[in-house]
Amino acid sequence: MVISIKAWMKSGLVLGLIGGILAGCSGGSGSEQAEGEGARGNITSTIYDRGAVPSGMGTIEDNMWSKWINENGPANVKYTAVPRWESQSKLNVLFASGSAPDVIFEFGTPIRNTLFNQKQLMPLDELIENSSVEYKALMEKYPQLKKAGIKSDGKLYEVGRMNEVFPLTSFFIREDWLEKLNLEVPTNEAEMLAVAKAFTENDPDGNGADDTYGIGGLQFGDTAGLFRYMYNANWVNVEDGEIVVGPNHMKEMTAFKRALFEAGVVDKDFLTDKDGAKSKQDFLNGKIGMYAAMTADYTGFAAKELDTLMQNVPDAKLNVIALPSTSVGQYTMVWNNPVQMTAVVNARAKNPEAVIQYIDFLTKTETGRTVKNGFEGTHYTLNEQGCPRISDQEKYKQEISWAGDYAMLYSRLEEGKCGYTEMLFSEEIPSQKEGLRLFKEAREVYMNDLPVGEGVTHSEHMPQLPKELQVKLTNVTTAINDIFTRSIISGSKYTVEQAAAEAQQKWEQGGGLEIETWYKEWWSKEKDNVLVWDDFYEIYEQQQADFKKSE
Amino acid sequence: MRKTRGEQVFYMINYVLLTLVAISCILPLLNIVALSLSDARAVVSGKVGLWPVDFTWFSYHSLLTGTPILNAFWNSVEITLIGTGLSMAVTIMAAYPLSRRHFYHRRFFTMAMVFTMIFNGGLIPTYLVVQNLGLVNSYGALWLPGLVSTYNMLIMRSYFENLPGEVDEAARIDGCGELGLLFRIVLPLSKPLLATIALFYGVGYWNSFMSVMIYINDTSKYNMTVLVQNMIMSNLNVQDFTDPTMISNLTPEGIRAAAVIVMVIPILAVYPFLQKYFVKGVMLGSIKG
Repeated sequence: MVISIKAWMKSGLVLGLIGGILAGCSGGSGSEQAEGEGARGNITSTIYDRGAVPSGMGTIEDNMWSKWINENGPANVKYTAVPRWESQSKLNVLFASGSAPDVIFEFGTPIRNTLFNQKQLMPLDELIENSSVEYKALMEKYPQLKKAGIKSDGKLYEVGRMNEVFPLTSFFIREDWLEKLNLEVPTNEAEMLAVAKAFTENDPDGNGADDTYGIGGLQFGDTAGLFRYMYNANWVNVEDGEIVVGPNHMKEMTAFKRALFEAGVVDKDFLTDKDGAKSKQDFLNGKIGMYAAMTADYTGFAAKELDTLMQNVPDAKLNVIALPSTSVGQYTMVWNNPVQMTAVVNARAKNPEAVIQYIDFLTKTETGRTVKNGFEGTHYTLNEQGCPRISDQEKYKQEISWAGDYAMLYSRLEEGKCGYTEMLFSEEIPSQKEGLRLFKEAREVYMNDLPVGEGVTHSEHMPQLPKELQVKLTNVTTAINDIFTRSIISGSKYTVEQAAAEAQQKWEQGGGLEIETWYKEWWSKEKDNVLVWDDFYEIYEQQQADFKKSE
Repeated sequence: MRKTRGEQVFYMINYVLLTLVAISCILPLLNIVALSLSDARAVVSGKVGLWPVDFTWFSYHSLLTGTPILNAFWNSVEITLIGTGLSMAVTIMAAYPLSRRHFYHRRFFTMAMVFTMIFNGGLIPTYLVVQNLGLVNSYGALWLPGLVSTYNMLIMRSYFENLPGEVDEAARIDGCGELGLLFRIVLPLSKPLLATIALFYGVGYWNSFMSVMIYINDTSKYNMTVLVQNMIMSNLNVQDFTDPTMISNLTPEGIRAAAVIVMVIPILAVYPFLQKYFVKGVMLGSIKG
């Protein structure tokens, strides 16, 4: 007995000691919001929690920015934190128990659709018509916002923001390797294979060792998407105005991947590199000649990946190249979604007017600019072009960097030229300067009228299948992906033709026809209401024209 | 005793296999430690293996000043210590009576508890119960619904049952009542078991994730698992980064590794102290002859 108490105290002591070592300062958190004056409405709202609020700044639901919004906004807002990566289950519980906030911020289209299907959302048409100023004006300027926010019953349920259109992924080639081996930029499958072979076998990095690959991983990570876009290999495509559902172009895509695999131009262990981390490392260490990288955030890409590559391999020179043409045509890289829906309103909101006023406040450019940049003089200064530049990185990190989710209704481009990505690079830093060059190149190469290799439209604008069909689709797509993957690595034992036949059979057995019927019906009803790539291209041209005007 | 040839081979194979298993557990952990102590650039380039590259405390420094990890750490400690204490107390109080053969309707009570292992109320109904008890946003919601793990209780019950009846009789003859019997005889004899079950509970509370996420709304009450999960998941996600300035919300890999280390160290540190109970013979020296 005595011994056991001692032992317990010891283990307790260990816990305590470790805590004691780590202790230095403890996070102080503020208390309740002050009650406002009578005329202001009281509303509640979600805010994503990403566990990124520095100690001493309070919590994500109660901090200098929530206070600022309460002081400067039209309503008293009480925030409920929703963990970013578990938002679905958190929202389910909040709604089921009747304690969901009035305004729900959610990026995930399926999650918002589910709430709509459960009749948890409030239609906003009349409210916006009667009570809104800012959002109404934005919606008049961009009718696409209205189009995207309307649900299948013809009413408007979602509000959102306008984003800049640019390519989400860039297909890079090592320009210095091309020059060294006297090669041309590949424009079709055969040339791509030949260049990849040369990059693998002719020692382009000149170290005398056989340690380079022509291309990044085939199955996982950023480069995997490249093949999908190259071949427009999607489950739902549109051809001549008609919807086509099934393993579209996957046979052709697989045949090419198999050719690459058999030529030995890709890491043989690509299947074990589950998140593409290995191929990314190879690329950043200068061992891969062609690599597609996610560049949704080009400034971030420049600061992190590009900077690392430039440090590791000072001679490396990247270029962005167009997707090579294929046996099923030529396509272009996927673009950003310019009309992004980010918020819905709870059907049980008690004070819808106050909710709309709050939405209006968040839509205002001044609000977004302040939340994103802080206060002039304290956090930023204006540079010669009149755009905010962070003046104190430490202070920015401490007070601003984590507050971005308060600006989910902020349409950055409304600010004028300062909102455009190309103004965000700090050209005095070499990797940023190079990043800006690549960003402009990517835009030049991918923003054109070739069809985008991601089917009908950006995934955020695709409809939600009914639950049982969704399950079937998930099962059948997983099975078919496995079949095609097998045919990449199996040599003569299992050919692509065999795989394609088996895949077709699987598709029919696994409910493919039902899924096809559902999508066809949706398309025949909704095709005029869905925003598609052509709409986005129009927005792009408009945005670029506005930019030129503002210069 | 001399080992036969067959036994020698058998032990040999055992040692090799177990060593391999141990290595496969330790290496990933070492890699995480190395990542947390390496320079960010080396981490991104994949140069870090089992030894830190360009050694730096930067990750830990950023973790402690740049995130609410300390607060979350103390929350985890609070949840674990109080939760384990409560759970142990109540589990013992349930297991002991059920282990006595003269306990009234003990079969019925046991079955009633086993029933809860097979059926449960589901997420939303449970949430509503907790909500109506006024426990949402307090740690009561973490402790109360799962206070007794039936499985642990059953293990404890059969352990108590299997204590030799002679000890029991001897104590009673010397004038010991039920409480005395429990505290002076049964529990001291069950130290290995108590240590094991306390560890089960402790690890369970330390790792509690879903319940914290569902029941706790106030982020200043989050524990480490929820916080670290948020950091680890803050990987690239297209939807979020259509706005370029959002990248600053990403938690770099080194800091994530540091957070994982801070999260697992306390549990690792407890094991050695409980080790001896696992090893020690169960009934060592309680009855002679």
